[in-house]
Amino acid sequence: MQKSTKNGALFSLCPIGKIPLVMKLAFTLIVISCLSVSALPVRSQDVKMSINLKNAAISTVLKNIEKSTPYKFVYNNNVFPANTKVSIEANSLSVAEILNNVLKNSGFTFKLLGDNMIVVTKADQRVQTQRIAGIVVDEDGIPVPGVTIRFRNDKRTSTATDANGHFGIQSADDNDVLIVSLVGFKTQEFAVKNIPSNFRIIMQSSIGSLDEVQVIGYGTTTRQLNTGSVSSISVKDIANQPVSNPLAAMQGKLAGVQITQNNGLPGSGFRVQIRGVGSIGSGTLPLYIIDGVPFTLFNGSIPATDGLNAYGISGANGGEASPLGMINPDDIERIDVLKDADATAIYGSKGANGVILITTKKGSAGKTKYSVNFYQGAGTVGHFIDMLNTQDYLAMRRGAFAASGATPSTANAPDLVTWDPTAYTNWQQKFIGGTAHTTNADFSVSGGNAQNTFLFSSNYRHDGTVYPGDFGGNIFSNRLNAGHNSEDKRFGINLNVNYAYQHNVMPSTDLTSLYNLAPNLPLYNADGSLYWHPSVTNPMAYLMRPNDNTTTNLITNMDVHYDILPGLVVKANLGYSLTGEKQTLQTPLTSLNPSTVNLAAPSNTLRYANNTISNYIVEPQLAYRRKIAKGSLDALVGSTFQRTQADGLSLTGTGFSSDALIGSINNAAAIVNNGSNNSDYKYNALFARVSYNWEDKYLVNGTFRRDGSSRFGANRRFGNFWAIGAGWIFTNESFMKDISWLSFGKLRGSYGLTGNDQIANYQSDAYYNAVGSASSYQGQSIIFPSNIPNADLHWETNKKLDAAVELGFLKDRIFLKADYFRNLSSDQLLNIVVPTQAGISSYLANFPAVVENKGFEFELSSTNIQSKNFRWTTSVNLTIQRNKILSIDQPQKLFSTYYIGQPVNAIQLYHFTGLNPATGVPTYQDMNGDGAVTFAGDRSAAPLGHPYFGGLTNSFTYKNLTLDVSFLFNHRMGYINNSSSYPLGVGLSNQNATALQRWMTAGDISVYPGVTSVSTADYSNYNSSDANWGDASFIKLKNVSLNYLLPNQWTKKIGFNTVSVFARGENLYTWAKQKYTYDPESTVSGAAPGLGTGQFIAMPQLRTTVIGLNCTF
Amino acid sequence: MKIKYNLTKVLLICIGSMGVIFTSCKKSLELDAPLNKIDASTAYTTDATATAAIGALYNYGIYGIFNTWLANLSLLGGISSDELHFSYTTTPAISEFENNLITPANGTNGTFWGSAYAELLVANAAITGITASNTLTPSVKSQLLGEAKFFRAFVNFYLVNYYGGVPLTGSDPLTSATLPRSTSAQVYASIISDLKEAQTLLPVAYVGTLKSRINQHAVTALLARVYLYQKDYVNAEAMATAVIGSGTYTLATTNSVFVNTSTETILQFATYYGYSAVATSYRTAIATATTVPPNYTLTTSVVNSFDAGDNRKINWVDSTVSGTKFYRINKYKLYTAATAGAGNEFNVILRLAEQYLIRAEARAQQNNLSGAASDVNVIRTRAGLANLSTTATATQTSILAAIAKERKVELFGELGHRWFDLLRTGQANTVLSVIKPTTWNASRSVLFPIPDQQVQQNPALTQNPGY
Repeated sequence: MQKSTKNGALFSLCPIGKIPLVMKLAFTLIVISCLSVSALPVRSQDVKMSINLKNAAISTVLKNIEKSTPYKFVYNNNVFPANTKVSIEANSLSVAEILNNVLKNSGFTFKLLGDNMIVVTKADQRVQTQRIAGIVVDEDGIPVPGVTIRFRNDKRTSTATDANGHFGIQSADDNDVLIVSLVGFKTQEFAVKNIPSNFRIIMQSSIGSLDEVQVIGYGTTTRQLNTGSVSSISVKDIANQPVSNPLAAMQGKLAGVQITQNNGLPGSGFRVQIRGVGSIGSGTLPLYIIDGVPFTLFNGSIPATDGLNAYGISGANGGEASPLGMINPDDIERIDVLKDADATAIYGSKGANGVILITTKKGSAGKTKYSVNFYQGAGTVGHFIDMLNTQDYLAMRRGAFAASGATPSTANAPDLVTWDPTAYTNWQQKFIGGTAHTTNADFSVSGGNAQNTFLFSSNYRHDGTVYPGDFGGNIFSNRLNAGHNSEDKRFGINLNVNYAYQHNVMPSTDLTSLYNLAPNLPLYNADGSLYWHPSVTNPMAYLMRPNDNTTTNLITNMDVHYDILPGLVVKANLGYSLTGEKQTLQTPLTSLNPSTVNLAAPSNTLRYANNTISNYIVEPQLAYRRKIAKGSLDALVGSTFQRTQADGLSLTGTGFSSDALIGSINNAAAIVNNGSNNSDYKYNALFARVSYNWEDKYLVNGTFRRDGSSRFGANRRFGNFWAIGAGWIFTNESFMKDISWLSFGKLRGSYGLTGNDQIANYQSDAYYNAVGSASSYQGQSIIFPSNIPNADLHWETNKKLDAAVELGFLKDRIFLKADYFRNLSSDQLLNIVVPTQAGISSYLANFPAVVENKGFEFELSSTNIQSKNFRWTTSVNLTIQRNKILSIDQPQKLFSTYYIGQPVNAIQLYHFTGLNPATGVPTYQDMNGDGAVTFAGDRSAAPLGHPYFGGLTNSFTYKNLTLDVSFLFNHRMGYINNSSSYPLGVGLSNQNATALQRWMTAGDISVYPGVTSVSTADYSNYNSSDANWGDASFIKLKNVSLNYLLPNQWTKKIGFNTVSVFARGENLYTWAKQKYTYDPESTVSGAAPGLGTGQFIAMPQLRTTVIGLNCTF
Repeated sequence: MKIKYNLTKVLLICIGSMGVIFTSCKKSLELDAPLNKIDASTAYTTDATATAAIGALYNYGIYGIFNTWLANLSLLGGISSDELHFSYTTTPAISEFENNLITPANGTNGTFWGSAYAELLVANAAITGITASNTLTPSVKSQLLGEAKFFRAFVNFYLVNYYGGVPLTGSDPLTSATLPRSTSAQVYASIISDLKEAQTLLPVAYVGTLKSRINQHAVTALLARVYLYQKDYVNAEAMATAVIGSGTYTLATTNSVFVNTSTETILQFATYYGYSAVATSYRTAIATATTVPPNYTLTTSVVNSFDAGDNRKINWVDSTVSGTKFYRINKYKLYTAATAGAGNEFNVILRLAEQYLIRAEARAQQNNLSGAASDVNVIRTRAGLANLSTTATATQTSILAAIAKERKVELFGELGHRWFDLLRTGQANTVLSVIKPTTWNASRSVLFPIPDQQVQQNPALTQNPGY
């Protein structure tokens, strides 16, 4: 007892004279509520004391009481007039009696609060205080820790629920409103005067609701109040899918967002397009931001890719590693995709291609929670291409020689002359017919209290391949999140540290490309040695050339904030990331044709590359919030300092005296520097946002950013970007109150200007390049003028318009969001061709061409059935978009041919007019009538049809069983047979089954040309004609997830909070019009930027099924 | 309302300080050049960087454009004349040169033109930069400026001979881009002026070993050739005499002429690996036991021009042994090497034998027939042949014919000599209209076309006649 009285000294030690009493009280109450945890309440009637003072100041009396009892007094320091003296003589009286005596005629009164606190005020001041205590539980009745409890008016008082969901808080004003909030739950408000004792608050999940927190640039809003176009997926959608890269979990889930994976091998890259391609020649990568840190591996290489590999080596997976492959999907809380000007203009010259904000999980207050998630499964290639068997293949080949009158020889037709005509190998089964094993384990521990929170998580993942041999990838990552708030909540800090290690071993070449080997190709000689023919690399050689790739990634960020004054917060975001990729590619002697190997100077090689990219960002900000009239104003100003540095080395070592020494470049007889990368990029910005919300009816949001990038020329280094967004929630108008079926209605629109800066570094100033050692002159390095400088180089301008309606029907059970958008990209950053007599053939400049992307986006979610035990929800998204070049000024100044009125990536095709029935030779329309079919004059734009894409997810819950089924679809025109090559039979390549329908004899009616062993343009043009163009639509059964949550009473018995078992399937089935490819979404890494169209042969995303277990305790 | 007042103050301070930070941003956006580049303004401030910039003239990337250009000087000239045959008619871009019927859209021709100007930009930038620099060591400055001028003359010499009058470009790319053609005479004037200056700038001594940097003799040797082409025989003889008489060079035995330690070489461009890029372009297969024809085969016109017992035929020509017999240029013998060093092969640019033949021709043109004969005989002696017969030395016409034939068998496959000899002596029409009767056109075929894309992009460029 004696000890606790020391606390009373706090008040006399802290003279807080000039601040109004109300504030002091409020401050007091905060301290009280904090102290209440430790101080045991004492009943006033239990404490009696003796006191004897004459002509003492009232404050002296009070100090005396403090010394002798556990009570503490709260009063304003100079409140008692100096001339008021009192005398008291008491023996074993209660404190209340003493005080009544002392203050009797002083004009002061007192009130005993909980926790032994006594407030002394002037008698005419009425202090209305009320202690509110209660418990917060979730919909299942489980206590929720870490819930923030605060007041609307009294901003200085707040608390959080403890580990058992309990809270206690003192209200100083009956008319205040209590606000109960936690991320992921709907925020609730209660009038203080109506709050019962032992208040029980039930939190309702906000996911999918209008109160769901929506992360936007430099802040958050809610779905209800957002004025911009944002699509999001949350932890639930991500967790359902057994993927290693969070981008894979986003496929088909978001309107306006198209994502394809280059191939299905571990570590392969992704292509992402948000609302189409705005740039003709520069990068179209979205801006990725993880917890405030921009995260990309784009290092100024051209074409723009998200791969350090631009200066490295590629193995079978292409090596164009997606940076997000280093982020464990299990660590992600939510992903928000910003699409329109309102949402993206705050990112200025980086916002044009859309922004993907990734928010990772944070620790939360409460009992320490342990979580384990484990799954294991297997993947296979879902679809093989139907190829000719040996008999049909050889018939085709013989026919080809017969048609052209050529004689098969050992040189040009070993398959007919020397190889066993009865041998047959199904190469697809042999090289990609295996099973890829996947193992994924996540472990996390999180918890904390009202002030400190933490989260540790760790992930291990192994992905095998369907190749023979020991190839695959491993990822290991650890993450720490720690947060702290000061006692008074004015200061807060949050830190994330994530380190990931990825190691992939792949063959040098994607073995998928072996699908068309001659079916009777022998692999081995009779003596067991590898068989070699000058025209064919023995496919076993590819298995001997491993590409070893080690990627490490550190990403860390710290957020700090401090409330300077009510409503005014100063904060800073400090981030750093460092990504490294080390690769080797071995070509041992044993993998080379011995007849071409010079044993005197062995041509075995090791390629070695080591690239790193580091990035820091510092963003000080100031946020201000206050009520003005009937609305609330939110303002934010901030600035950005960012720097990205990339460094890389690429070497080739040759002449290893033995293959055993090939592992290290140190053992090479000669090392050549293939050229290395070194670049530096700086970026600064000043940004501001003001938003005003009038009674949740009228919303206005203005954004401005001025930024400068080191990529731009001295004359145009800084640019201004802005946006205006507005919303009208018409269902909050009084005249809408009677329409009960429409629970929510909002109209919103935005217009603004963003930019694109994805060009190579160092284009605006004049430089001399140094190049690798192979370009030295007699051991002396050389430099040469490398570019034509352009001081006017600046961002691509992207003007975005968005108009949308959001409607909730039947208490939001059905929710529809429909957007119309139109983006105009001008000032296109392109290589301008100059006459080569200049000495350099082109330079980068802003070109007056305009590209338009416009379309409609729909997102619909509905709860179809909601009963006690069964719930069925559906969400659908659909995007219809068009890309068109509106204008090009002086198109001859461009390298490639672009067509006004056509998409940026328009494809020009010959028009197939049928086969010559007598010869089987394809014929084409001579469009310009010059008597010859030429590349330049006789092609026209491929028809586009009416493309649209989207996804459909159904979720069924019956008691503890949940089934999620997701489809994605893409309706489009495209190449319809990409694995036939014409003329059939010309080389040692097998063909797919369409070869059986080829023209064979005069008079045959067919669309597939006949065979010959001599190629002519007529045959080779066939694949570039509209004969090979048509409906290339597809639907993928992307994901099926079955989850069973073990009944609570069982899991409690074994000491777990929750235990669930699950089975998940990924890429289970594809219905594709295009049967002659593996995956309609794959592409070849390093190919032109843009989405995968399945046109190239690449490893498909695997049909993967896993089973697993998830438990928390 | 005290709070509001404070707030406004705090806000003002914060916004103000951000403004200050932001204005200081501009400066922080200035980047130093990355470690693998240097700022153009500093390229010629030190001896080391200026030397590196000149290094680019010699080796604009071993896999880069200048080596391809050097190879094409030999190959395109060779097939345009009666010297080489290109085996792969399925590659029309090259076959068109052999037919002297080059379409203006020909990609190889476009690259050939562009590469020359890429090299010229490097030379022009160096000339401008070095001239303006006042921080270079005088001897280095003189050496480097001389080398840059040599290169500008060297490239312009080939351009004017393949295309006629061409634009004389400078060091600013965008200004150069729109220039019209100069006349052939203006280009030659520029070449001679550059070479004369280079002569005074460069010392006789080579920088480094292996004669792979330009010295004064190399400039004089090229000047001798330029005067010969200009029919300035007095100066041609004088220049050739200066080189021959310097005593620096002696003819090597035929099997060691193209080794990089050859006593005969006046100038060679070193290669990184120690073998000539020109050599590897000649053939597809190294082995003689192949049925596959080499890329370029030597015509019977050349093969039959050798006198019996000519060491040059023995050492400089070989043939495939299986199936059809294909003759191949075998001057360079190395096709692979690990690293460059003494004893390997580089790209030979100027050698003593040509100087004897230049002087012989200049003397013959000045009616010094005996002087001419003695020069030719030096070459014939080295080839293991007897002196010219008295019939050959009897008249100016006969000795000029003998010199022409000697040039054909001495200089075949090297940097387009045969093509230029036919053109400058007016023999092209006579010789080639017989070999290529359907495609040869006396007025059109003597010049390559200006690439049509270039004519479109630079309206000031005019096309050569007949295209």
